[in-house]
Amino acid sequence: MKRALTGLVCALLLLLAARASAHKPSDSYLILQRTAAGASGRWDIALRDLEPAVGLDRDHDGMINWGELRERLPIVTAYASARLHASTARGACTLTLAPQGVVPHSDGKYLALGVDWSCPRDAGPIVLRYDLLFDLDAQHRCVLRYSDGDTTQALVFSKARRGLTLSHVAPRFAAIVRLGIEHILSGYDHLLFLGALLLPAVLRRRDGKWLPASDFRSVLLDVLRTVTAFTVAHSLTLALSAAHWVVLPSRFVESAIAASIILAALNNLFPVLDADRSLAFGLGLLHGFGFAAVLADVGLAGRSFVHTLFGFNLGVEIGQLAVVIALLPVLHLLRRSRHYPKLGLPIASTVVMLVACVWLVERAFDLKIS
Amino acid sequence: MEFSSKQRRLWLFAAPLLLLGVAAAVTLAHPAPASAVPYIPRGDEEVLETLPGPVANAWLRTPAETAASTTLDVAAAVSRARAELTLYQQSADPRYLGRAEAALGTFWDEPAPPEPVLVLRARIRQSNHEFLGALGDLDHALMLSPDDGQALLDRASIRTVLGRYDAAREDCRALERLTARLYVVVCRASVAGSTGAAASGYAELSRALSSPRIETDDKCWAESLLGELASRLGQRARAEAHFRSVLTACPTDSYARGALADVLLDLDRNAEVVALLADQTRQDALLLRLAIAERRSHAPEFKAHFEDLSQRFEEARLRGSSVHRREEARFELELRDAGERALTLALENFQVQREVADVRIALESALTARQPARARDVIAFARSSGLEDPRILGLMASLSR
Repeated sequence: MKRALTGLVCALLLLLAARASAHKPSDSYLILQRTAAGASGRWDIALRDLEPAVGLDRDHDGMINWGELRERLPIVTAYASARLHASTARGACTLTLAPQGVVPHSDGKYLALGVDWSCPRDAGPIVLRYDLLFDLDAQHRCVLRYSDGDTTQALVFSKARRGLTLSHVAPRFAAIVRLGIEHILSGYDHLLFLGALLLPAVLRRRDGKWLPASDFRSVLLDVLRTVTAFTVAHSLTLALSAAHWVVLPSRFVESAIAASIILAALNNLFPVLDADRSLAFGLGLLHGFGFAAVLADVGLAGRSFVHTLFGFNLGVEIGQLAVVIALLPVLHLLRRSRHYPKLGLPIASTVVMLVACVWLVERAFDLKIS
Repeated sequence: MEFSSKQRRLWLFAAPLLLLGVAAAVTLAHPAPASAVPYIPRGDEEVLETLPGPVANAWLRTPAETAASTTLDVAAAVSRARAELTLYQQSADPRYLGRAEAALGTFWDEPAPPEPVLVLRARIRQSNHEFLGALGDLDHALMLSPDDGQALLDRASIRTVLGRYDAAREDCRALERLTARLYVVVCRASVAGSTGAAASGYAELSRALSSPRIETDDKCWAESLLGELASRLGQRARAEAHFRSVLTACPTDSYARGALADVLLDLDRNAEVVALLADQTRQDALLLRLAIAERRSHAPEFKAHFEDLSQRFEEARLRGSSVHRREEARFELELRDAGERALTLALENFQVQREVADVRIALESALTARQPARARDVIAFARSSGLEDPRILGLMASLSR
């Protein structure tokens, strides 16, 4: 979601490669994203604007070539970084500016600078101060796009307005609930895990064999118990993680979630753990850490912690319940199928396991399998 | 192999899971598309930017000059600002406006700066379509020195743009004893052109222009007005001749170029508009007219120019600028067929400026959007001022039907 939004914003801002170079007032473009440490993104400054400020056309031929710009990059970077500041209530943020090359806008080429701020921890909103070029071009503005989880703000620095606060727009409760629903419905790994757990819900293990459950009421009870165990477990770790009491590296969590699906599917094929509930609870603990990563993007700091946590969790449970309700009729049909224990369950579990294996490899080794 | 009903039920379950797995794999394999990314040029020789003419480079200033620029030297600030403003008038590049403003330094923000600063500040504000601010500065300047002909002329032109014709006429009268006859006549004729007296304005201005000793710039400026008055009277051939004559004497006069393009567009001579504007893509106003002509003649370049314009208006919107609302309204109306949106923009624009072109775009938009009621104020204004342009009269007739 966040990535897609940022992509959209960038595309809008930088619908590039204009063929006809425009006469346009001086603007710089600052595209920022909230990060755990502060904010990061990119800052595009027109070469035409840098020329009167630092002097790029060293041979005075009326043209700026890459050699001239490259040579002056340290000076340009120093000039720019002295004119863009971020701070929090607890002190200044440290800015790292890294030239990324050039990028065309409608009125010519711009220097693209990678921006990365590291701010004091948990220090509340970031206040930006922008002082570039106003002394040379009083109509200069900086168009700032700041995206913060799900919301994107468009702000403008001008000579009269040099300070801006990257306010954290607190999403309404409904929006938080919706985020939870969206997350569970688009997070295939959680659904797949739940699916793997529920696959044998219509069966009972007796003497090393899968047998159809005697009645649908017991199936319902079984599903209820499994889902409840999963819910209790992931709510617990979600709260622990969101409160920063237990923090696990995200790559580990993501990999472990993939592994949990493999385990659940394996247990269908070669049942070791008899009770689905213990599996649902034990492995469900891992999934809570995964949910917490989403909440961290939205940002809990400085706002009603319980409010957000509750709303998000509620959304997750609503989404989960919807999926389970949709699955119930299928389970009802499957209960009586003779082939289900010998064919359906193994095939479905194997498919689930294979998908999870791909995820595990991708996440554990940080690579993409196409 | 035959599927039993139970096998079918089995697939009921397996298939969605399979699809789910495939969907998950596809999602992972195709992450969100990356936006256009910066690139490292291939070699040191790659030219990234061609600088437009002279740039007053701060980095070339000597330490003494830098010091002077921060001290309160009115004469230096005014002369630097004037130089930038001249560059703006020659190129129509708005960056020079920002530089002119910066050149005025701390004087810009003073409530009561010296008179020359007031006049310059008014000029810059007028160029940024801050007409009321500009008017305030000129009122102030004329209080300090009532005989400043330039300030009077500028105020008359702003008052005309705002539709305050009686006040504008007063300025023209005050100008009579202060400046060359041509300026006075231009002042009067431009009010006449908006108030139903274009014919007498045209006659008087023609006579004044026949005087032999008139500088080229002044001649171009005055003859552009002649072309406009002719166009107001529906004499398009005469208007075309005037604008062409201006462009021969002053080829960089983008105002005359745009006005000529408008005359040709009204005559549906689109190929000639394309020829006139093909290399004038830097200015939004000219690119807009080029794109209109290209659209009407189904030229392949239209698509690219349309996208350029969309991007430029989007960029202007992002920075919070509304200088080009008239053009944007025309863009919406003629290139996007969005009458409703065009009308909204045109009415916003009408609150800021009320020249003939502003009236015209508002009426055209109202007609396309089929919302004559929203154009009521515009029509009332056009009636009360006595606008005589046959196109506008035609539009008003269609709207009141």
